Amino acid sequence: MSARAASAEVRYGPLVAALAALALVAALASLMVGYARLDVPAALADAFAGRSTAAAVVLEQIRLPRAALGAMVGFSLGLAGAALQGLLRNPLADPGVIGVSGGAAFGAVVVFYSGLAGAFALAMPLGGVAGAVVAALLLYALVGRGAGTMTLILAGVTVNSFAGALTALALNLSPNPYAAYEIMFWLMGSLADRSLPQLWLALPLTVVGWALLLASAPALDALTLGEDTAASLGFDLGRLRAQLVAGAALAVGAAVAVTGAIGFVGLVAPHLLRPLVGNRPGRLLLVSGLGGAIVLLVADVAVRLIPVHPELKLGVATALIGAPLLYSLIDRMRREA
Amino acid sequence: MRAIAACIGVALLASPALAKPQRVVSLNLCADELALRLADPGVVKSVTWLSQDPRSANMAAKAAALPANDGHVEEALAYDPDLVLVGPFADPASIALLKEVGAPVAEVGAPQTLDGVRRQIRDLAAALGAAQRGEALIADMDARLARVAVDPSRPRLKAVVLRPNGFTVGPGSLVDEILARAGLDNLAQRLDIAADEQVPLEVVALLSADILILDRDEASAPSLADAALDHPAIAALARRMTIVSLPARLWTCGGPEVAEAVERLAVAAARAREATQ
Amino acid sequence: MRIAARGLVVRYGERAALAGIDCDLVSGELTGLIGPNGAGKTTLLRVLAGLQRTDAGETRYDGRSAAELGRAALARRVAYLAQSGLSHWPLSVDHVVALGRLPHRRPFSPPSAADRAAVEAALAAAEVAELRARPIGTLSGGERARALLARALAVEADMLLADEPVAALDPLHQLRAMALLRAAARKGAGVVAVLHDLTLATRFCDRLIVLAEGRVVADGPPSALTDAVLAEVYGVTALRGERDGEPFVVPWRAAAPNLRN
Repeated sequence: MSARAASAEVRYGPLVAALAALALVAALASLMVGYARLDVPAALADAFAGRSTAAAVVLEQIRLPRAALGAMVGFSLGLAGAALQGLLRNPLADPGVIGVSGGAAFGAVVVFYSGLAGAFALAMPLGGVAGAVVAALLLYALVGRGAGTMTLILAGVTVNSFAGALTALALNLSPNPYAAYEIMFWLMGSLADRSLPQLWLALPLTVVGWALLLASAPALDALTLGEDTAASLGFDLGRLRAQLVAGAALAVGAAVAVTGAIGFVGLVAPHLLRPLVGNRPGRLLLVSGLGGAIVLLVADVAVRLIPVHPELKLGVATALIGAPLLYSLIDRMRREA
Repeated sequence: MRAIAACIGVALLASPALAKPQRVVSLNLCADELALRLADPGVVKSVTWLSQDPRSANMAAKAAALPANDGHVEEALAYDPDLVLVGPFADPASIALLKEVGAPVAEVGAPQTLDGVRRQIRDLAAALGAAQRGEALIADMDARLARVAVDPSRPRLKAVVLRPNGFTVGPGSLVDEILARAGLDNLAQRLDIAADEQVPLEVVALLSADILILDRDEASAPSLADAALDHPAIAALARRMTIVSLPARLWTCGGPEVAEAVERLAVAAARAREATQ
Repeated sequence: MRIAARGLVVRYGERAALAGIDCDLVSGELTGLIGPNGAGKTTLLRVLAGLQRTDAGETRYDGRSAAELGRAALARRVAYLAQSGLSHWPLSVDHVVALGRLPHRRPFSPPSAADRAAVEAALAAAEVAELRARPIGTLSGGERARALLARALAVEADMLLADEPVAALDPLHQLRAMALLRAAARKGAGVVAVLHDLTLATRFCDRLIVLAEGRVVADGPPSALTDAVLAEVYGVTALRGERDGEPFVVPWRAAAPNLRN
């Protein structure tokens, strides 16, 4: 904690505006990048005029959902990461690291491969949410009262291992011969060839999750001084926990159901942006969401530019950046302790 | 090439072949199907479980009446067979074991050309002592192929094949020849790929094919691989190109069912020509 | 404001942290809550702040229960300063002090002029104004304690319940902080402070409540802290005296066994 930390703070309004603008740029970049040469302006013109040329179809049905989902999922992961860190009072909490994404993946896998999703489309994101809730509750039971970093990481490893094993088991039990090989998608995530219907399906639950999380900002600020002080400042801690768990489960669960589990976005974004909001957990929420959107969109552009077949899974790209960061964070915390 | 060798061969090993085997066990899906078509009733004692699934097999109804095996040599021996049919990638150790106990083995391959298909039917028919039935099967297939009329003067329509997980079919395979027989050009050649590879959906959409061939069947259990073929972009493309569903079972084994594949494609080609007029 | 507590009982398993407490606290008074370790001082303070459930008894704020008053109103009118003094994130001092205004602020609206004024007043009163931009983790123990006290003052509550507010301070700042608490009481707030230093307690407090083993042993002006009480509760004898009209009490020796119960 250096004296420099406080001085990095910038004004909130301009910060949010700048991040939003960057996110927009990243989304546009995502639209422009792909595997086929696409004349984007022409495709846009076709789409607006209602001409369903091949270019318009590619733009509307393939690239647009990919960019929109990249922004939506990135925002959810960044926001949920910041919220979980505020709740657990620990900068290492990230939906992937602590197992919430893994639980969501298991929930989504059960719903999809059992055929439930075919009967009732909304079952898919709901399955992800249910899995996320169970994982979050399990985790909170172990580390809820501000247990130390070691316990948090161990709990996350446990929940993740268990969820991953159950996911693999469910996939192997599926009668479809392809299922067993699809584990890489669920555990590492991808935005490739996602569709507009998937975006619309995940969006309502996600937005509700965002609202719950963003509304908790003042309470998270109060929690900086500990549970007793926060309660004395008028915040209902039981309700706050429920709100944060529900919000994170909704946002992360719906996202994972569509894209698989993508980790470390909720670690990288809050970490980079925290100094810019004076370390205040409340203000970090929105800023971290925007940062997460930027990180994920940039990673998604990168995996399409890297000439590897098949396409690199997004979770691999985020882990390549995020895991070394996690390592250095743990190392720093260990040395400061 | 091993493939060609497989196409050519029926290898008879060890003991002298009986004139007409009475107890045949098949340990391979493609062998199952041919054997069920060619052998006398009651001669085939067991087939693999795969051939009983209508999604992936052509003779599912007939196969369902027989006991299923998992493709293991030990299971075959339980029937005291006088002919065991194996696939092209059978384990040499298993074949050696069969040789030791004196059970004749015939290998069924994966032909890459129509001529190869005919040769395989003949060879297996001979091994089963059903040469006449073999010829009839070939004749029937050839007749169906002949009925598919392709006007050589008209430009060939362009087609691209899309399989689960976004895989396509490379040049030089049996599917290629089936496409050609139906009067279609496999656009995979333009993509500069040597064998079966994954093609991004964007690329498929922008290829300006006339016909999109989907290896899709009415699903049993769901998977992401199959769901990839349900992408809305494909439905949107349906307005611009003809889409035909062609399940893999019609062309992976290289049996007489390839004629049906050619027929379906020819019908689709005719539809596509009408649509552009 | 008047906080009236009757028959408070709090049990942790077999042990009773509070074994039946009655007390009344009013605005305008600085009350010192003293007693040996484990006497129940922190528990009592937390009950009065509405943070701790009781197994028996009730607490009323101007005649109303905490539930009737409502969480938000209680937060505005009763401020609590925890003993532990932690801050999970390295906020700067002015941001920490500004947290004290949360009970008064509408969520997501910017701080009002009244909020800003309260923060400035609190920073000045606790003498941490020149530290305002420093991250709280870089402060010394005493500076941090003053910053957190400023946070509690910023609430501008009717009642301030402070758990060992001066324990970490050096002598100069201890005197100033006690003077500050007394001034706050004179201005109309009620202040209850858990204290270990007997001289500070007798010099500055209008009233002392002495706890031992979960019960009130003495409750009254500082003169209520008699030798008998000292021996019974602390097991010590003390030197007493007076200077400029203000008393001092210095623990001197362990009490002989027959002077204790």
